[in-house]
Amino acid sequence: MSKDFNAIVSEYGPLLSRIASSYEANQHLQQELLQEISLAVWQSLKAFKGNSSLKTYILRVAHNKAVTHVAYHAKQPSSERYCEIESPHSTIATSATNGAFTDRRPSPESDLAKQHKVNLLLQAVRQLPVQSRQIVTMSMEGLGYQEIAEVCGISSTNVGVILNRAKKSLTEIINHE
Amino acid sequence: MSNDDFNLDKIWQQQDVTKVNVQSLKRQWWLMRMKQYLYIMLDGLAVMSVPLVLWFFPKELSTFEGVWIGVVFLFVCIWFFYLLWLRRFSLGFNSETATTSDFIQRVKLQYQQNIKIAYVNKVLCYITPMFFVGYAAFAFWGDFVEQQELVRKAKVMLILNIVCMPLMWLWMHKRQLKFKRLLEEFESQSPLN
Repeated sequence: MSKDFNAIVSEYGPLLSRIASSYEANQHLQQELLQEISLAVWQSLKAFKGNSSLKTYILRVAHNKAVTHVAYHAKQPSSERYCEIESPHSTIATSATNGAFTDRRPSPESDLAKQHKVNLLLQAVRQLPVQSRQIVTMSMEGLGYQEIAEVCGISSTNVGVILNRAKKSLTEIINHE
Repeated sequence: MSNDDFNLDKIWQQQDVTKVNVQSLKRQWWLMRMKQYLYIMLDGLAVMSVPLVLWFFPKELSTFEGVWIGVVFLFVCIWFFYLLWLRRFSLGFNSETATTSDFIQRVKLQYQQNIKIAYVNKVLCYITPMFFVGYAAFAFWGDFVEQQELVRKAKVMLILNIVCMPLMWLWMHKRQLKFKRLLEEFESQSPLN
């Protein structure tokens, strides 16, 4: 395995995990999707020619993989109850802001409130149609209209329309609670 | 960026994340490559088995059997290249790096081709016994092969046809239904509908 890929995993791992969580609520399937996405990114790295930023390229690969995964698992029975992987809320794990992993301390009240908002946002994002979901997550990951348009293969005007509509509905859900 | 947008981005970035299991990725990568090599090897063996028979057992085959095996080889070659042609959409196309719209079109096309491939293989299950029956008929009435030898070969062919062909048909039928279901699910989820 090349050093490049290890560096990419440590830099973009949190981003890939957030993409996976926008497609899968089930922890087990989320982990599976994250692995599938990472493998697809690894395979596709040799084809990267620098025509776009690496982040845009990785997001394109990740979303394409996630679309296939969701279509495949669409009618599989839900196995949340039998999930062996612990939820990130109960693991030691890791919380990441802007790509850096940091230790998570046991949650005080403010953390619980924050977690509640995060869960609300995730649930709302997962209910969006696939295209809106892709556009809104890429925007929240810091991509501009033009970059999102290149990934999705639609015009940037169209991106703007879909993004505004999606963000409005997400904001309403968050503020309503 | 409005305040609401900033809040959404901030909440989004605060979510817990799972670490990528690099060791498991290595294992998956290795398994995937081995599987690809195995498929290529099996495809190659299927095509090459016929001329190999001609090469290794030329004296044990009558002229009629040689011609018959040659016809089978020709048929296998046509079938092999037809399948290759059906797979052309996935060959040489980097689906992961395409734009989402192109990617979705390609995935749909590949599902459709997989349905066709399964159907073609089902048809093959009907044609294969005809080859054997044809061989037996020609050999029997044409008097090309000794009676005892013909009975022995006919028994082997009968067992192969009775056991292998229904299993193969069932497997292909399941694949055909599976890809039909996947296509329907994919079309219902596709953002381009």
